[in-house]
Amino acid sequence: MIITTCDNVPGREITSTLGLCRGSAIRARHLGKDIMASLKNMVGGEMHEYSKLLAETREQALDRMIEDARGQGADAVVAVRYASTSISQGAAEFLAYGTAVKLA
Amino acid sequence: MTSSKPELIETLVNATQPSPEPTEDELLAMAYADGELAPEARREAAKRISTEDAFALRVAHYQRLDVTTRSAIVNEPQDTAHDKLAAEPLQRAAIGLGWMSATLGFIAFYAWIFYEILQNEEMTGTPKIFLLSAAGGLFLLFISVLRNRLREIPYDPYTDIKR
Repeated sequence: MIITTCDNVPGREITSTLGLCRGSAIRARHLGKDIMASLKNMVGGEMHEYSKLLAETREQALDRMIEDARGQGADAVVAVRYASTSISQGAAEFLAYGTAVKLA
Repeated sequence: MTSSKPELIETLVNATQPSPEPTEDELLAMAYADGELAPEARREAAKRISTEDAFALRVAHYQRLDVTTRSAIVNEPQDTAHDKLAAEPLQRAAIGLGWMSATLGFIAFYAWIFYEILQNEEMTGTPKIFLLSAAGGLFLLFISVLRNRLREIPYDPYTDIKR
């Protein structure tokens, strides 16, 4: 499965557009990590706890988008984008979406 | 999915130990995790995931490998400093003692508040029952959420991602 942020796949021809494919995920760290992160807020620097949380959520949302595209019989997903919102404090929500296409 | 915990752990250990020659199940799990199966074969494999713990754990293992490989990162200088500090006995002791002290303090403090409310003679029996009901209910809900999380951890391929 080719995943790209471009509108097309260089060197390949898009034969049909299957439609929107998307995947979202919301994850949280446990209370202990939240407490450590809030303490880190006082001294500055990278919050490793939340960097990891964002990365986990991003990958899960991406995988769910790929699974959606696979279900539609796609060969590639073009114009992939990420969006994030905040649903609850200490949790990360990611939405990955793109256009599922068939390639020649 | 009716395996006991020791059986599940043994299955997980066995499922994550690659044999010299991949078995058919291993190849199937790899193909499933990599999304290389045809739709019909994928549906069949999905059925097996919902009924066979060993196969589900095998798939989760390969998904975890896939995700970890995809998000593999090069250590930054600050990572090295972070890891070194985390391994220092003084730092580990400070964190361990800090957590123990804070946890015991919080539990004792809330237990004391709870006890004081129950001992309060100005409060009639009904509010006390409400309080006990609310505290007991929250505790049961917490236990059920915790059990759910512990149950899904072996199948969660995203826990090893660093950033």
